[in-house]
Amino acid sequence: MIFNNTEFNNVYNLIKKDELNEANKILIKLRSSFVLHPDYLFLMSLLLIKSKRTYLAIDAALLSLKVDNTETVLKKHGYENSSDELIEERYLFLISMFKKIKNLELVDILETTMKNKNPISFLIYLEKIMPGIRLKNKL
Amino acid sequence: MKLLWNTNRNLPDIATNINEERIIFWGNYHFKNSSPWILNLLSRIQIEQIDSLKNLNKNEDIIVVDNLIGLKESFYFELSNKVKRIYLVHLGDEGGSEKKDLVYSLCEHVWRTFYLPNFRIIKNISCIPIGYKSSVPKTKVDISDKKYIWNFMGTTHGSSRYDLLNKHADLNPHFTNLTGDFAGKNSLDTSEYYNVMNNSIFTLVPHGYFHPETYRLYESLECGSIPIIENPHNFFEDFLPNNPLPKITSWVESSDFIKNHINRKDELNKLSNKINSWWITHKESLKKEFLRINDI
Repeated sequence: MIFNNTEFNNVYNLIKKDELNEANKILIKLRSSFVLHPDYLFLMSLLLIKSKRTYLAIDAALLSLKVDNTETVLKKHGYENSSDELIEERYLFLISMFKKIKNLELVDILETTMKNKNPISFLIYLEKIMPGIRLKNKL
Repeated sequence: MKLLWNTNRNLPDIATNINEERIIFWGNYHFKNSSPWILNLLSRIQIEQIDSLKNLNKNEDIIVVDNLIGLKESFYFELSNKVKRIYLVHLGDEGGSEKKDLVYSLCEHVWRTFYLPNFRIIKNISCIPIGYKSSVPKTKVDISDKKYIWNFMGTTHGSSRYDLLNKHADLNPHFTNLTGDFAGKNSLDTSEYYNVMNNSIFTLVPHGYFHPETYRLYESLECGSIPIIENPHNFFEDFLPNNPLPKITSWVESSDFIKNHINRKDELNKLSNKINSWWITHKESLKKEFLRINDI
């Protein structure tokens, strides 16, 4: 399974079936416990892109990647890392989004990051180019 | 009708925590910057501005302009016992998450900023644009005399604003001023800010932090700079029906639009005039609506 949490899997399947209102209801219910969970954030990005909010979907997926690679946040909230399957799907999603907005520089960087399975340099670059994708006040 | 501007009354002298910092910042911000916009909307109503609750009459109505109302429930309880009807202009609440049900229930009508579709179905709520900050220029620079093709002044949050800068970097001359925080230390002062906008053919208007609206949309309209607005899920067709504003979902569309129009001054002038005339009409209809609701 792509998610370790049954409710996340349920939301994922609903989004894939375009049952977006139902998916949104469950995400609202889960929000208080999982707002910074990397898998929750990824589901948010999938929901946002279905409603054509491209940039917000990218921001949510980037934050998901960032949290997944920030041990302090995971530890503080008792969250598990995303599964290998989800990590790959998240990279592919982000690559497709950057292709959509025609930013080929970020497509290249992310393809290399995905191949090397190491997002650290990308995350450092991200802090420079998109300083709002941050965990300030969230730790 | 009496009007009480309550955003900056009884603020703490010094902030002892982040929450108090927010209360002081926004209370003063709205008093200083939102008053010309709100008073303009109320200009068809005869207003007597008051600064205390003394001498209120149980048979009269009052308009209160306020923000962060969830922290002021007892004030509204007290006020509801002193006057016949309260009309509230609720500023702020960008995320729509402020506690407001109780205060709204004590008001005859509420005008609020940061429109969300679910407010449309509530009978005693009308949504208004967030408006512009004070000191808009009195004269507009003609399109052919403007110094810059486009401007962006503000914070660089996430992917939208990054992409905005990326996609327009080669369109010169342009003006950018990037800041860390809203109204933060690198922000231009109001007259410099408006001078840049007034001197820009286009103002790029990305999504706000939580909400699609940002002040720069209305500031550019006041300056005669053509706003190009990020329009996720057709928000602006819903909130500002029949508006002629150029709208995009991805910033590449905006740079293409500018490249296609920049040398067609006649078309730009036509578009600018159309936008200006729509904005004047829209403001007039809002003023009439304020008057109509207060007359009931």
